[in-house]
Amino acid sequence: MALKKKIKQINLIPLINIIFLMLIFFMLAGTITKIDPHKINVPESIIKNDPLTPFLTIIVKKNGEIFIDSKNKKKELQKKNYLEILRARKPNEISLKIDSETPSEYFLKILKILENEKIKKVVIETNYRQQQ
Amino acid sequence: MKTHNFYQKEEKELISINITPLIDIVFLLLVFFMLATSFIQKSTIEVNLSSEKTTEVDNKKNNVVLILNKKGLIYLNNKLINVSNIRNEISNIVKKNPKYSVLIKSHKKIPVQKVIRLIEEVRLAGTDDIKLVNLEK
Repeated sequence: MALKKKIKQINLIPLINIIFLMLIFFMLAGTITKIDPHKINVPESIIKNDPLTPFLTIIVKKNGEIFIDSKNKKKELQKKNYLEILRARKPNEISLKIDSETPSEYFLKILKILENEKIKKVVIETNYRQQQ
Repeated sequence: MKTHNFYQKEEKELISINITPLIDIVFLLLVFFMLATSFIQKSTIEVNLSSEKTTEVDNKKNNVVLILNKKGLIYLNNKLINVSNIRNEISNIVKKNPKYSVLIKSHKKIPVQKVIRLIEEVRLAGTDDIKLVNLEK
């Protein structure tokens, strides 16, 4: 007598449901971030302000290297170079992306330069951390 | 002669949609969003750029002076203070004298994170008049 073959099928519907739920969660809860070529670990802050999209971003690495925008990732911009860029673009506001471990002397130097260039507004990029 | 009977049972064809490509795409989307999204909330701090020179700021009498030394110790008007108490202390001073400005002197080797924390504590105390200078010692 020929044996009747039972076709065993795994029910995939619950799996698909869960995957859809996860997809919706990631799409709604997260924000897509740009890959940072400089790997700057920005300082944490306990005050929540809306992030700005400024005209110009100055990036200061741990060792004091300075870059303007993330496009100039290959070469370090010396003081003269970025001053030229600042003077050429004349931005009203500047975003400062500085590593949390950078010695404060570099931070103050940059602020002094921006002050001398009469930049009206400087914002420091931070990660919001809820106070415990 | 064969007559068409409406009540005759028709053979049912099982129509099934192949959902495998759909699952593939959904998986790809899921992986993309899992890798590309971040749950870190971005924020910003605005810094006032004063037009006064460091020496001018130093000579002002109506300053609250916060010193952050090499060891990371904080002094408020030459008195050692804990970071968690700064807000209350400065808040009390500023309430009495709203014209006072806060001068933060930080050692040049101190990480920016600690300076930012001080700026925030001063802001939360209720004043935006903050000057930043290097501690020269």
